[in-house]
Amino acid sequence: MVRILRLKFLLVFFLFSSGLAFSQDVKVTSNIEDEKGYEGFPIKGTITITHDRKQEIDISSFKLSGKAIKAVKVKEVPLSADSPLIISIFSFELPAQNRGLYILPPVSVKVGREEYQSISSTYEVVGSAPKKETATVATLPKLKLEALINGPVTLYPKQKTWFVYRFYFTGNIELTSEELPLLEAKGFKKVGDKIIKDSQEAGWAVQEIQQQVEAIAPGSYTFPSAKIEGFAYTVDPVSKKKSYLQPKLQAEAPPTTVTVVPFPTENKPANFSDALGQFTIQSALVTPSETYVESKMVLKVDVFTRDGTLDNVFLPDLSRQPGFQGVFRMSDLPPVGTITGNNKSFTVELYPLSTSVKEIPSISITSFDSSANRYETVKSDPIPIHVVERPKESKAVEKKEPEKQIEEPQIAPVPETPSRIEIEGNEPLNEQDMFNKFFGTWMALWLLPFAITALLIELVIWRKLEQKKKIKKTKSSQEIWDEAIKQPKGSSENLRLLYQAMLQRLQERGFIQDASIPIEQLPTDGEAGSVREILMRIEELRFAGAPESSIRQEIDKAEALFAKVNK
Amino acid sequence: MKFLYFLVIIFFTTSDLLGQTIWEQADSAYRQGEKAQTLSERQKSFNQALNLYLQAEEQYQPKYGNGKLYLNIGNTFFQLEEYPQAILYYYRAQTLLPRNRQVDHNLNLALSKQGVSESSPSTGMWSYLFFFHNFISLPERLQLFGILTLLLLFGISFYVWKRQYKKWIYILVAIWLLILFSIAYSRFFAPIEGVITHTTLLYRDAGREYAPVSEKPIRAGIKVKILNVLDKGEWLKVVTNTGEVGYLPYENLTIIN
Repeated sequence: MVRILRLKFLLVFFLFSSGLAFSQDVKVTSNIEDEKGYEGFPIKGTITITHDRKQEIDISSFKLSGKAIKAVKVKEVPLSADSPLIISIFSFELPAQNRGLYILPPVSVKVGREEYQSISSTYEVVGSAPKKETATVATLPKLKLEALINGPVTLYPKQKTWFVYRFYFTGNIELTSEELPLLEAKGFKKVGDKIIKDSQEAGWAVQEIQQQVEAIAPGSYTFPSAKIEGFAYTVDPVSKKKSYLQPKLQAEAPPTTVTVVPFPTENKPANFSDALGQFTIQSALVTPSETYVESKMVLKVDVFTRDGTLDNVFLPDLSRQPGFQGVFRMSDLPPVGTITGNNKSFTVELYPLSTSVKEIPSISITSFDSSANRYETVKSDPIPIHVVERPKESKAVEKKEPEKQIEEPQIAPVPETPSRIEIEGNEPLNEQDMFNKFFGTWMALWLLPFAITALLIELVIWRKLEQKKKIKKTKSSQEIWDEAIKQPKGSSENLRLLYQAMLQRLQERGFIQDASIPIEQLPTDGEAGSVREILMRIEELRFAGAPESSIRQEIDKAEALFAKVNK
Repeated sequence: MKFLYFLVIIFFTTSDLLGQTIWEQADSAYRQGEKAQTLSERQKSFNQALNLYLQAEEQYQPKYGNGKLYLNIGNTFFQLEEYPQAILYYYRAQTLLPRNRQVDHNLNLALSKQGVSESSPSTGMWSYLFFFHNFISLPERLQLFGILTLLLLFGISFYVWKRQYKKWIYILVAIWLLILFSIAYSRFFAPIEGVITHTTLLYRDAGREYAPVSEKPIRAGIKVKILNVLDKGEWLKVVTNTGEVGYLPYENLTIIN
């Protein structure tokens, strides 16, 4: 039994091996020629099949990734003279691809009745340029930038000009960064939106971006360099993918300076409202020139210019102009002009106040002519008018002279009699009412320094007087002595004054500093010592109860000493 | 003799007419305007009076006077229905005649004619401290200051020599200081006010290229406070009585004082 199993196993093994050996005779390989293709061109490949010459290849069975491909037999090559095997070589084409690495999937084919397939392989698609993918000088896309001012470079306030950038380029370019300071227009007011124009110029594609600006304040405005950067690119016609080319393209425009100068102050009229350019002015009556007092008259004023700016043209305040003030009544709101092309129109309503009004005076506007560098004032012509009193209702008169009737605008009739006065009458004025109040102006503040000065002087005087008084208050020693001798000799008052006189004398003579010191503190030598001795002696006699004669004797000695100290 | 007498009469009459001052002529023209029977006569007389009053104002400039001239000018503008100018001059008269009811009455009337509401009185610490600002005009306060300074001078002098009435001097000093601070406030801190004389828009900045603060223009006759002056006086920054802040050209506003 075991022997039979062994035999069966051997048989199976033999058959399997034979089959395997037999199948090993068909070999399919596929690859791209040179393992490389070129961008934009079909990619050529080769399929090599090694098989027994008796096995036929089904040409229609070639498939790539399950999709049928067309393969063309190139040749057959026998493996050797004795070998039954041959090599069949077929070629195929793949459609053009973009640059990159790719995998060629397995190619399957029927050989005999069996299907065989190759293994995957890789290939690379390169560009038509050299390996580093840089274009030649002749075909390199170009980029250029230009900055310019389209209009005046030196402006006056509210004058307009155009800031322009021009992009010059060849080929397709995609910008990655832009720095365009002129379009930001710092320090200027932008007027309207940017205008973009495309054109061709000498082989260049040109894109122009322009922005109108208006000058605001005088000054010198320098806009830094403008820069743009980007990459040129190509587009795959099949996949529509963009392929960007190296290197990065850059373009720069130099800095630009614009100057705004102020209007000259010399001879600048007071009614100048920054109008710039040359203008003409015309006025015309819309309503008839003959009218009643206080009837509405409509005046149309047109201002023309060829190249000036009408935005800053305004009519002056007619209510303050000579010939209008007090003669015409006008609307409270200023007339607003409407601009049509090179013309600005104003409509003014006037009401003549009396029959003495004979004309509508000239209206003037002032502008600055930058070409002549001076201010120009233009005036309209005066318009003669005829103002009459509103007639009283008199049908007979109207019938007699119908040709004198004046066409009147359709407004409410002005009453002939004036309305009642709503406010109290004016107080009659006198001369006092014409002048400022006495000390009612800021001059009154001068009283403050005057008063301070007077007070200071007074204080100084007072101090000096007080000092003098102090000096006088302190009596001299002689005065005190004279008072002392008036007192009965030996009395307490006499002695007190005597002591005071002696001490005062010593102070006056400079023997002591202070006359109020006790007698014991007097110096013991000199004149002061003599005074001390006598005064001490008198005190001793007094307290000892000595007879008055003794005391008087001592007092006499004191008198003599007093006189002596005086010398 | 009779001829001589006649000549003397003519001379004095003529000299009286010739010697009429400008304000007397203005008053006369004003009275003529009040009595006029027709509108044109009235306008003519009031215009004449106005011209004469304005000439007197320019010639004498009584900004620290008693305010009667300004009241008369305001009345004349009122008669001519020029209410914004009338309001301006009534405000000027009001600063000099704060206790005069006729000024207040005429001002309110002019404001109502112009369709403008009166500004609300200012509030705040200063208005309480200097409550008397509404009753005493600046010239009167300056006069009071002058009188108090002289009184103080005499009082202190008396005290220096006699050492008496110290308490009264302290009271006098307190009143004097209050008046002084009041004058200093008027000079340095009080807001400058003006009247819009021509209806105008209020702009967001100093220039007509800027957008207006509001679509509605500010009516002439409104009193505003001036916050700043720009462009060498060409533009003024103001705040209205409703609290709107903006800029307007100087020619549309006249300062009250």
